[in-house]
Amino acid sequence: MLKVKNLHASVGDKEILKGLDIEVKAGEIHAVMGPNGSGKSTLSAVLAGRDEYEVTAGEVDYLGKELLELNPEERSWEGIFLAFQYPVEIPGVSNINFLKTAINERRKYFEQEPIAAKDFLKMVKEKSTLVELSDKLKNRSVNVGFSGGEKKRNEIFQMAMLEPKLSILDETDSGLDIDALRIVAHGVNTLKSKDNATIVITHYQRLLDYIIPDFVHVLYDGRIIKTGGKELALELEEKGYDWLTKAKA
Amino acid sequence: MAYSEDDLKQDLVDQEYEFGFTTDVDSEKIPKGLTEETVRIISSKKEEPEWLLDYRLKAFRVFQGMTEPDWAHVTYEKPSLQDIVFYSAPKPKKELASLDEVDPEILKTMERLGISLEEQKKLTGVAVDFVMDSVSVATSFKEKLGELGIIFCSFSEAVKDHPELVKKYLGTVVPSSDNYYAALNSAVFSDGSFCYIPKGTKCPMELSTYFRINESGTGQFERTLLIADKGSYVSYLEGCTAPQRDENQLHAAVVELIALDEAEIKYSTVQNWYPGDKDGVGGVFNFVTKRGVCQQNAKISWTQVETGSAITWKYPSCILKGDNSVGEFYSVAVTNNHQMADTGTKMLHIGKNTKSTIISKGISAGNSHNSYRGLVRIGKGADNSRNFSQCDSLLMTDTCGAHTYPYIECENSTAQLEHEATTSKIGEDQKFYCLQRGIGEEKAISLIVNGYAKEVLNKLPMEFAVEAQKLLEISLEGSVG
Amino acid sequence: MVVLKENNLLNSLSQMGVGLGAKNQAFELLKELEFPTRKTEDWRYTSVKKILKKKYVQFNEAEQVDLSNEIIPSLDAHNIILVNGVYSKELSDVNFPDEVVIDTFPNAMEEHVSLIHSAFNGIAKNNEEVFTALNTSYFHEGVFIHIPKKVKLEKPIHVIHVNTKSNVISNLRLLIIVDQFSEVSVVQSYASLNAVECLTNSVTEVFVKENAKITLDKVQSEEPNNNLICTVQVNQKANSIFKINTATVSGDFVRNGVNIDVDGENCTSEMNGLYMQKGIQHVDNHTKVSHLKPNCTSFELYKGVLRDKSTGVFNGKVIVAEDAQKIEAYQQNKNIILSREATMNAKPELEIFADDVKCSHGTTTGQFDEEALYYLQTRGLSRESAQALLVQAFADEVLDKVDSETLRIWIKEKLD
Repeated sequence: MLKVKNLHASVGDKEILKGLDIEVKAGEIHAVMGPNGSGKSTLSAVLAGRDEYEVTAGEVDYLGKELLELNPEERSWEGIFLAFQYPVEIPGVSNINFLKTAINERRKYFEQEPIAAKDFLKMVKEKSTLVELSDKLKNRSVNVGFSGGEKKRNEIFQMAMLEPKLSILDETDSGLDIDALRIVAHGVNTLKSKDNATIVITHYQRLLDYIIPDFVHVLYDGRIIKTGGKELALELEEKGYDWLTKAKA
Repeated sequence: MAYSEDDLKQDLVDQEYEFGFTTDVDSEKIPKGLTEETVRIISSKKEEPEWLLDYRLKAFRVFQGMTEPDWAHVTYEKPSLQDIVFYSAPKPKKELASLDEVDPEILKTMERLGISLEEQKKLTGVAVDFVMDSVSVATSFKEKLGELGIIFCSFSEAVKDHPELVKKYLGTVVPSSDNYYAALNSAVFSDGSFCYIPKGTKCPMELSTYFRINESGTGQFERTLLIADKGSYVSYLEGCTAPQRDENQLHAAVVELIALDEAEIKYSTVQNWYPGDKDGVGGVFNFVTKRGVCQQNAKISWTQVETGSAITWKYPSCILKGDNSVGEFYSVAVTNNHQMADTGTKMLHIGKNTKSTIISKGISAGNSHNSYRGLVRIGKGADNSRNFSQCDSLLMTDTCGAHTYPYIECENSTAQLEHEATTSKIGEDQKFYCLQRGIGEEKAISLIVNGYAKEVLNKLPMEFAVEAQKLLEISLEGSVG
Repeated sequence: MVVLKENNLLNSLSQMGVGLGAKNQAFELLKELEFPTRKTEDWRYTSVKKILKKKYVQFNEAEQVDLSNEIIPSLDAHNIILVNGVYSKELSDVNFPDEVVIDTFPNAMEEHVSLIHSAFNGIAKNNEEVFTALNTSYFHEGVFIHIPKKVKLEKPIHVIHVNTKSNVISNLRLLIIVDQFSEVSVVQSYASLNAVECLTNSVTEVFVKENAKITLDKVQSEEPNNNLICTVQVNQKANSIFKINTATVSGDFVRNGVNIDVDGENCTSEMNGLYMQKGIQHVDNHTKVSHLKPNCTSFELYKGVLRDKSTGVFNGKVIVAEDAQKIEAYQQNKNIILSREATMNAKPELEIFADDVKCSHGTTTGQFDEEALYYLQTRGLSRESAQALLVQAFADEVLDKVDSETLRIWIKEKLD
């Protein structure tokens, strides 16, 4: 589904990704772990098409398309979803109106009629139970006045509504208490199928107790320096990153 | 919400000013220019009583001693009053007894404006007093309102049928000496609307007037007088659309609101006069004086959505004279291309326990300038008065300007005033969030801007809220820098 | 004797002091300019009628006075003394590092003529502000302060101004140049000793060069029945820091103008003010920050407590010029009115011509939180002492911006 080859990216003059390779197949869950400043959030931003990040080398193949050629909304329509580490607040725009707009824009791209109100509402009802999002939050302005946990749950709710092929969860576990973590993980696990894939970017092993990855990658200084199975996460939890980064150095 | 952002998009096929057409109707005009004779002609054409002619002449004399103000943050070539035709009336083909008799050309215009009287009657329950140029040509729901004793008619009719009310209140809130444009209006006002809500009556429908400048080179000097008697309630809607013109057109209206004890007036405006083209050629000069006075426990709420006009100079204000009275001002002002708007409000607290709220949202794009100018004055006797003001500006391009000039004057130690203002660019993070969810840039901006203005749009009656959203989107199309 | 009156501008006064060309120019301008009225937008809330009616005398020689009350005892500073507008070498401290210049213009001209010429009157707004033109025309010898490159002056410079005779007009003129990578702290204090009906008209020009830093603390504590007009013009170059704190303790008429042109990138500008007014005191604080270059930040906090029949004015203007992107400008003005006869007028303004900015202002006028007063009362404080405590807490937010603890304590004592 996703093949990233020798990806280099910088912000301003600073190179952050320095030749990153990763391959994700449909049906898989990949965890990308690494210490602060290793480039985890840059990876998610580059894949989603944020224009502050300049890709200086490398290629990204996504379902046979040159991902880097697409603008952010096209990537979204093609099934890429980024659950933001810090979901932004948009005052005055209701969550529901926001999602309806998003869904209909995508349908327009695929030359489909706008979604019928009845179907939309049914879908909202169904998907919101998944992450236990109350009606109150659904009708509120996007992320405005949401607690940290509610924002993350809202991200997963949007993910459920948009039915992406490739989901990237950027530090979704940060700032979550254990109950919220469970809810979020439950959402992600339920949405998992043989046709979609997930990249979980995280700092801690904790989330991976709930979302079991097929592969664990260690990102350090802009490169993947080790790849392993889910047991690698446990090893990292126990030993920290030093043993790997020192070996690398 | 029946009307979604999508419906909106679909409605916006044409990016050009959509009401930019003129209606072909024979007009009766008087010669160009302004002299005492002009004032007399206007008055005689309208078969006005002596006292009104006197009122006009007095105003004209005051006007002659005044100069056009230049303190506002706008620059323009001052209109030459000698090139303006101060009166023009569509020639009625015959006496108008019903809608069927209205000039079909005019009916067609109304249809293109989306305000077909027939439809409005049936669907929205809105009584419409349609002002074509200067003379009211069609009125509906009059009977129904009549049963309640509500008077809603053109200003000229009111002068004929209810002279005692007009005489009693005209010029009591905006004296003709108030300012240059108010004096001009008082001397030459052509027509406008008059409304009286009797004691204890709640007006059962939104009263609505659509104004329109139609005749080329015609000045428009509307006069609105609205009296809400003790304990009454009325919601009044005013919407403006003007045809495209290459030459500047002057619009200097005066609106006076009187809210007697316990009365409440909600006055909403969607202003979409022709803003001029992309290079700043043409467009309406909109110099308006709007003011209301609140007696005991009364409330006046101004809501405005300003998207049109080349130059806007407008400060809907409240004199909070009675104890416990309340004044509100909710405004969204959008400027694009070369538009210039200097708008805001005055809240004058005189009575005890008076409260005022000001929410102003400015949006500047293109090369435009958008200024908020407001005054909150707490007088010596205004014990326990409260004011809250929030003035936000959103900037869309690096070639526009957003300015905030609030004046806060407090002479009372028991009052509390709070003013906040922010100016910032449209959020890049918000934009990217929308993009990531598959919402394209233009759509994202429209969504964010509408969200930003929501607090004000929510104050509008439903039919207007929809039109207002539409106007915001039209006004900002292609504005992203 | 001199009468300050429109169309009768100090004609009888012979021109004194150094013969800088600027003085002549300003004098010509002064003939043209009119004194502001309430119709002058910048003077909308402040009338100078009373000031213009009075008669003043100007001194050319400093006299010997006992300034023990004005010198801050525990502040180890270079004290520069001006009496009735005239620099007193005898009373001033002249023991500062060799490379630093602190002297009158005539004395400094000998060695620093080009430096003075390049800067003096460069940013003073003679053509806009009649009181500045008045100052430029009539100031006596002025004081020139130059901190050369890469000098960090350890001790603060305390410029003490006192009027010791009634009906004096003191046109104080300071030029401060803080060169690249230098650092200095200047305290300017204004006082009077048994003098009434004086007019102090102070103009300070400050040039903050690249990477330089200056803090200017102003303490205004003239006796009642005196008038003070204080103008500070600042020009900041790249990476510089300018901070001004103004504490107005007394004086019946005080008008402060702080105008900063931020003319370089990555600058920080900070303005703080405290006015604790009583009697018939009128205090007007005007500030204007013009952000001319990108990537700068400005902060502003002005707070006031108004008692008796006092009147307060705050007018803060932030201008962001075209292309001055990435500006953050924050302004706060908070007022507490404690008397039925006091008046506060606030006019915060934003003029923004760039789009990538974060600017905000807020102003509040009101009373103390009744809840807080009540809470303190339940803890055994009388209503009066509870109020005093809250006033103190309110003022402390501004006083805390004064870096020197010694100076802070001295201001607090004056306030009490």
